[in-house]
Amino acid sequence: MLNPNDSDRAEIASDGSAAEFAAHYREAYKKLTCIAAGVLGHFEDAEDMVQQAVSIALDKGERFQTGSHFVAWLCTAVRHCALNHRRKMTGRKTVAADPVVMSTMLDESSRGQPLERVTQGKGELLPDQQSFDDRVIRALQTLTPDSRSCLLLRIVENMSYVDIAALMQIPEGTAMSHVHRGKKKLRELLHPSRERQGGEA
Amino acid sequence: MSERHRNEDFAHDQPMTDDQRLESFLDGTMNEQDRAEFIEAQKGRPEFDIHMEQQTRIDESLRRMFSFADASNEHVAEVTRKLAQRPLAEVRRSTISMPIAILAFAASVAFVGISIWWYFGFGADRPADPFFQPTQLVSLYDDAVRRGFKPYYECKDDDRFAEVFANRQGVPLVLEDLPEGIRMLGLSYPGGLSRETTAMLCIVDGEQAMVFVDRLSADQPEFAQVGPAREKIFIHRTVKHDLVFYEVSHFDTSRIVKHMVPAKR
Repeated sequence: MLNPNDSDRAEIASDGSAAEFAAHYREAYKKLTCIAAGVLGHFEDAEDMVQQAVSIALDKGERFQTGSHFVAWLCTAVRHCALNHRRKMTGRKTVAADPVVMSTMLDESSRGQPLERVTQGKGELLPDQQSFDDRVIRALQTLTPDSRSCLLLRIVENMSYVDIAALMQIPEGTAMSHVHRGKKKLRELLHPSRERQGGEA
Repeated sequence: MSERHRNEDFAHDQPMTDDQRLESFLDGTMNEQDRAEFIEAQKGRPEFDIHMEQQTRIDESLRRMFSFADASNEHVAEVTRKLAQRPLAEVRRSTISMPIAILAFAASVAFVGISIWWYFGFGADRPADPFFQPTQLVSLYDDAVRRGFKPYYECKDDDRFAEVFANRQGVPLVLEDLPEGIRMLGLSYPGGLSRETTAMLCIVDGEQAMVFVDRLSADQPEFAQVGPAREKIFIHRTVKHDLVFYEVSHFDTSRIVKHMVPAKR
């Protein structure tokens, strides 16, 4: 695992060792994508966001200072870029049809007669079957961007709190707090009793 | 139990609360002895089992949804090339003088003011968002395959399936009874012809197939081309119900679109 505290890696960029940089960038890529997804609140656009942020960061390469950690620097660029994108998207007047948004739009009582049920040949669309993933995504929206990023780095990338803290440039305790509180909130929102009551996360 | 929580957000040198202990256990940060004691203490508490089961389910869901592909060779090569062109270690010192800095600040304030006026006043009737770029449907198909062919939205409910198309394309589409060999995986919103293009991912006789649906007014056939280098990929165009359907697959005939029909309300 890439250790953001490893100071010699800060010099990767200036060494001019393209192969070494490429290897480390590959290793960091998924973590950066997790951070982007955490800020955005969904996985769509996360990879595009990383590629865009890294491109912008390298175009403005003079802002990187020798001695600071290169991947953490990229992480900051990704966070800023994703935050800008998120602000831009939330400011739009157009309406997306993502499940997260739809859940707040659909007023069951105003929909009139339900649409005619169709029989699904291979059993992929079972009547009354709810998607747990949809509820998890909805529940994720209640967390802060930093909490989501820490949570995804911990659960999806299996990173230690030392590494998360170094990458996100926050204290280790704060990283742990983000993860623990985030997990607890998700469990509360996705508790089976809420599911039985038809409660939305 | 004697462990102390390392979290700076919690008070130092205080015994962990039950909640903190539970989180520490679920997070795998407890040592073996504390872990054994904790499990022993939880025996006969059904809520603990629910927490365990829930956390496992949530973790699996997150890992499934957020399993990103590795960086492509092209992207890494591009980044490496950019890096080589512009050494990052160069720290450019600011040479801007104070009067120029003040002028720059004043210009920024003026620019922000004009932007706000443009947005809310003069520019209120501006055309639709100009940031969208159409994409070749074959590229989107290749991208979906490369990422494991997972839909963004599994869409287990047929009412919501119809609502997606009703909201995005203005027609509440549903799937008829699918014949043997065709399986619908879910929906994605990857763009394509317009920002609102909806893609349906299917498995047809074991092969990956995608149907891109959009309003007929958004149709751009030039983005439904198969390059000469791409063999064994076919795009079938169908127009019905004021919608355009592009089915991208390895089959030389359309297999899915005929099963997509407007819902009867």
